[in-house]
Amino acid sequence: MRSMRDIRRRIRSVHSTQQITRAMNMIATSRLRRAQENAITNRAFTNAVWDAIQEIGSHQVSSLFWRPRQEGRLCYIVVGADKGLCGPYNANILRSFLESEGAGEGVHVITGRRLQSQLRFRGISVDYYEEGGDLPTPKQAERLASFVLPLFMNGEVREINLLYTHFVNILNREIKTVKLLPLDEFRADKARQDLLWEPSEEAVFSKLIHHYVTSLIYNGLLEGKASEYAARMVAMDAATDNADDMIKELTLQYNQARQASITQEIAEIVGGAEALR
Amino acid sequence: MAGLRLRIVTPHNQLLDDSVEMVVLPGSEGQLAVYPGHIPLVTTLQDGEIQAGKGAKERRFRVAGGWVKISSEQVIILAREAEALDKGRSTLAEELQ
Repeated sequence: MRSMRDIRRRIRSVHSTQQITRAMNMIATSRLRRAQENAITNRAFTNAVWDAIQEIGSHQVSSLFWRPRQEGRLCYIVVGADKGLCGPYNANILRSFLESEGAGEGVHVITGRRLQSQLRFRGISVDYYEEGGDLPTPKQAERLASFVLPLFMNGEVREINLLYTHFVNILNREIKTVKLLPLDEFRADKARQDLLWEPSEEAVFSKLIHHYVTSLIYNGLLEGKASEYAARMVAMDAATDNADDMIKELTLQYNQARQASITQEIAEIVGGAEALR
Repeated sequence: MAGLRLRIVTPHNQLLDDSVEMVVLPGSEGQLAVYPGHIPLVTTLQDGEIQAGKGAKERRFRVAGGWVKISSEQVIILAREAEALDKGRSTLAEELQ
């Protein structure tokens, strides 16, 4: 049996760990509410953007954004977390990315410090990196869009994909891959009547596509952040419970050790008294 | 004639989803009035004011950084920022103060 002092030290250390996990749980819980709200209100916007794009696709469009491409690399935008301690969140997104086609030769656009360092550890290049921050801002999405769009325009990249964790509810998350460009899948076989563009198709598209890509990246960042906080909240809740169990177990051991030492002391005293008689 | 479904959506909220009779938009090539049955049109918007008419009532909105998808029965406005101008003071102005 370990000495009382050892056990006491161990209890103290588990207790301080528990204080950290409990604090992280509370922070994640309070931030989750904001992140979840943002993600859910943003969905209406993202859906409206999709609807509009889909409708445009049902008309005759000639823009280069709607044509499938053979040449060029794949581009993956991967949304990860800045920090660890959020259960399987980072591991899942990393695995999905490594399993995707883009992990090899593609252009890798990464958000999240943690994800970036994991990729660096594996020797995978990162072409563009953006820190995650506490809550995603439209500016971040803007910067990411401004990096990937020119690559698509100049033909270096044939496909832009967005890989993120979709927030279902607190316990459920789902990794999603969204093909942002080109939009060839939305092209209808039988085009309806012509669509009017003001001032011209190319002029509208150059602005519209930027807006569309930014919107979808922003949505991915928001969903990812909500998922991250949910994952962290659940993980830290479990960790706090585990620490509780450990403290209980150690306290039991400590009491046993204490009793044993008292019994031994009494036995020694009695033994000593006997010897004097 | 059936009304026009007008939606104004921004990344932060859905400002409006309602049936209206007509809309006036600040199109990139000048003001644009849309009635039901309009020819399908896509255009970017200048930063400015939207007026939506329903009967005698008129509602006004301000948009920035947006584009619009018009079809015969629906107008979807997707903007970076938008706010209603119905309530006397503008919230955007308050935020700036």
